Amino acid sequence: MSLFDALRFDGKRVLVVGGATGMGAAAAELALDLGAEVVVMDHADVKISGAKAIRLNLVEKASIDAAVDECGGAVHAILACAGVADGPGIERINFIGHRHLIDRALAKDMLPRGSAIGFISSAAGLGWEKNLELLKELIATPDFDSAVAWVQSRDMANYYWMKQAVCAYVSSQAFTMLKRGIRINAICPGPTDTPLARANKDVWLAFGADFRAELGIQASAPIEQAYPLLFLCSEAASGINGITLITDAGYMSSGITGSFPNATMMAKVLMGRS
Amino acid sequence: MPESRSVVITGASRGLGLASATHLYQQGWRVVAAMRSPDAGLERLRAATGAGADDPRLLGVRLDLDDPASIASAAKTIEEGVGAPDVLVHNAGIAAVGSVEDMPTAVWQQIFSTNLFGPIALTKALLPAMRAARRGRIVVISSQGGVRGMPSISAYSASKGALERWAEALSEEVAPFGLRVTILVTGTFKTDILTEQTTDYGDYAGPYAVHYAGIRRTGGYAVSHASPPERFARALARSLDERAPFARHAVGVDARMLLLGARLLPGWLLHHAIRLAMRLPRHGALG
Repeated sequence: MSLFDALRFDGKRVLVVGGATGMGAAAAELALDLGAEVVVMDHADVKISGAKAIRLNLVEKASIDAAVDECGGAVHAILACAGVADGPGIERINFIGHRHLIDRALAKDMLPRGSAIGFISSAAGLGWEKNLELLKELIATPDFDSAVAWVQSRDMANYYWMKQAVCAYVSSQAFTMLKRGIRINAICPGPTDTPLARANKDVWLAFGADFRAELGIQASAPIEQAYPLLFLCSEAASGINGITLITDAGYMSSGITGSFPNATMMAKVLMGRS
Repeated sequence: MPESRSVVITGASRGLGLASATHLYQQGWRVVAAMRSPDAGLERLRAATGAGADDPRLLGVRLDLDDPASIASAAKTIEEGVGAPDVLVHNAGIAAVGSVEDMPTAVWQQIFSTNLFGPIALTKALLPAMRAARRGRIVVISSQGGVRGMPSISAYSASKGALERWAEALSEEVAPFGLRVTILVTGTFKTDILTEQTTDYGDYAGPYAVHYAGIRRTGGYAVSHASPPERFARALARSLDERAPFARHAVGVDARMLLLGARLLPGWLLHHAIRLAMRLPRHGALG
């Protein structure tokens, strides 16, 4: 099979969770282009022609269960794209709801061998290795409610901890998932021009603004994050499992190595190397 | 030609105030430049703007924020000169360097007087007219220290943090009268507050000597990478056209990064990041 063929999704069904806007919408469009049948779940209205839309509120377990039931059938890729910056329910919207959705789909045998799961984590999810022992406790919680209680009782219902959880979850599930023939990976984007970032433009897109200015590049476009996400879920990446791929145009690497010294402190802090 | 909008800028004789007064004058604003010593400051302003001594769009007002009588008389002069101002920019501020232990208590009084109590008094004096005019904006210039307390500038940080909280409260109170409040959190700009203007109380042979050495290295780097004040002035000008009754913006990459960090990182990690940024020894490393 050629590389181009391995990237195709013909005859496959792709579920995009949080696909109404931003990176999720770009991923849904891209999956359609690659020949997939696409199901988009979102709290907001879905305006992607050719995709089946299912209403989903990740904050409520019953809504997730109902959405998975409505989807039904086989799913060859789940793209976990929903995420918020803060506010109530962040622990469910950014992590626990996705995990529950995956658990439900697994329980219903919706993910055949050869399928893949792709999460959108964040630069804030890096350095999770340092917090692994704590995060293992969260990952070991058996279900939705116990996970929510665990997070809330520890005051960890925030963006940083939930992105840490996503990375630790993806890495720690590589083995158990592949036993079922399923791969699981994540991307960790740097600043990306999404509605979430635009809502707090002067703050959110400040991350690495000096780096981009010196390089003469813009913040990442959603499609630039959708490409690696779809790649990781395609057969072209069949040898890749359990990784958290940094998709930040090299900001972290430039900081860690000191080739762009302005980023060094931030990179060391975020990557847990300080 | 429509009448020029009026803006009062405190601390307009140097730094961000001077750059802002110059830029807004060039944008066609009627500028009331408030400062301790208008004679010298106005000369700099006229040189920067090319305004003549009798230019009605550039007024100098003597203002000592530590002196209630000076504040009252400045408010009177402002109202006689431009009526209720369209914009009041609380830019004047002082800083001092030194650990909590090294900083004399009297310095706290001084900093809070200039950075907080003075601006409150001036606002109170001008509010009745601004409220009656049913339009106007109060702009508060905060800094990274107002977002997150910074080592060696605790008094300055506390005063800016208090000023921000005051401005938030004020914004709720005056919004029903059609007034607006804007907080601008500044990053590092090339002004005197970074260097000779700021008194240093640090005991460089004392227990905090290691702190000072680290902070000085960081400070030196920040100064060498600081942005020109004109960039701040342009951001201020843009913020004056916003419609929202309350806004808070960071100006400068470093300030924007700090706001992002303060929002997304847990407190312990932010503490750690600032320790690293300031090159301070790790927990328990000294004594």
